Amino acid sequence: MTSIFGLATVLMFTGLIVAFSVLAARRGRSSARISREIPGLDQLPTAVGETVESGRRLHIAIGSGALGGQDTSTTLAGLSAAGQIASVAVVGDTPPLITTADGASMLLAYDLLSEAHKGAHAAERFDANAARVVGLSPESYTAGALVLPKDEKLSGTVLLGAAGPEAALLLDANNRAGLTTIAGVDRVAAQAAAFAVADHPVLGEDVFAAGAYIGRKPALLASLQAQDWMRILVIAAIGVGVLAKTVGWL
Amino acid sequence: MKVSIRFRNVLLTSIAAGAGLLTLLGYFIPVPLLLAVRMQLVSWATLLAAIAVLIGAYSLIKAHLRNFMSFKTGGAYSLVAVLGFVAMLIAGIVTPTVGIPASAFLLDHVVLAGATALSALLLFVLVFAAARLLRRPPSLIGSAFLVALVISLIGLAPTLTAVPDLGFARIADWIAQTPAVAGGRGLLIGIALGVIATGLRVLLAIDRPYGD
Repeated sequence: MTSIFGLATVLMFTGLIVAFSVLAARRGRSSARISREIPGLDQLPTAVGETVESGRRLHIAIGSGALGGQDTSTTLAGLSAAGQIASVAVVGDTPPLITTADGASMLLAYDLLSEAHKGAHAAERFDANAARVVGLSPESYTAGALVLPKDEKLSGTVLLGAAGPEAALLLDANNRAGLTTIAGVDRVAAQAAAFAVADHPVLGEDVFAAGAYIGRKPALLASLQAQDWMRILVIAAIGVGVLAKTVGWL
Repeated sequence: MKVSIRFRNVLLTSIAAGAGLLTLLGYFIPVPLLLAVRMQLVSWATLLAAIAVLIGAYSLIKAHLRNFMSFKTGGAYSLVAVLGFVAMLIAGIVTPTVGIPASAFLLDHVVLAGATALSALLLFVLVFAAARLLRRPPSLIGSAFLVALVISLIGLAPTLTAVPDLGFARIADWIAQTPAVAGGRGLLIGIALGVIATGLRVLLAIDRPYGD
């Protein structure tokens, strides 16, 4: 029963993504619209602009998640957002710095940065050390990333990925150095901590929408629309369930 | 308009999407062949993840060695990190061969102690962060957060017999049991949808975190 329900959910989700993608392709890139505003992510262009103007590095933190574990999706979402940010931020003199806590995601981040430099015709400025592992556990990742505002000339930190409440330490270190912080994490306790500490928190599941929101490619925005419609369907199902239970049908 | 498609991209996308779809189908459809394929793919992924840990450790040590060799401020900390890595590596080899629980000793007395100290610092950071929230422009969510925080702190504090009971403990309990649980579940449902959407984006090759 669980398998059938799960498969039906995945198929419905896939159908919505395909349908919205086809609609987006028909309308073309120029008419690609975002379905809702995400205030925390609206600060990203400013943060990237500061990076380019100041000649400092933007720190993109993927968090302490690892590919292959329970944080795979969040880490992929973080990498997707990092790729979109990097493709814009490589215009500056110093490439963005991407930190992870996992070798596999570091390799992907390395590839993303390399592609971003090639895309901007700036392959000669590619720094092989710009994608790095700063710690292999959540605590060591935080400890390793804490010193970056002092060791590297940073312009700000964007944390998008899997992290626990210890991410507040990393964000606080950046705040004390006078750097802008944008933070979107997946765990509920970490979101509360990020809300209190980050300059621009990204709440709820918006961390998974970051790549699409920043990239604004029609296919990515279509998947974001599908995600929003699925949420409406889930809310409607909960409402129907509550009503059915109240009147005694369940 | 000329569209150039690189063979490498097509190959990478096909492998990623194909492997992902087979694993997903093996999870939902209980056919022995699909199950066997799924288990094989998962075991390959586990092997690759283990190799990735080694690559991660190499990257970490390389960065710290470079930091130490360049005589940067804080280079001494990098040396401590490298020495700690070497000590843990030796302890890991010594533990099964000689039978001395060196690895567990280092883990309990150094790694866990350090992690606990870091977690304890978190409390102070969060209290100062809550105070800093007052300096931000007022917002509905920010105000609700602060009011809930203050009530919860008072409600959870040890009660003094000289102070009359104003019901803060009951309100804090209600906040923790009702709106916090409801909000938490709402967030979890949203995160679950985000997880599925991210997975499907990669499976459908809409999003390619392995390079364009």
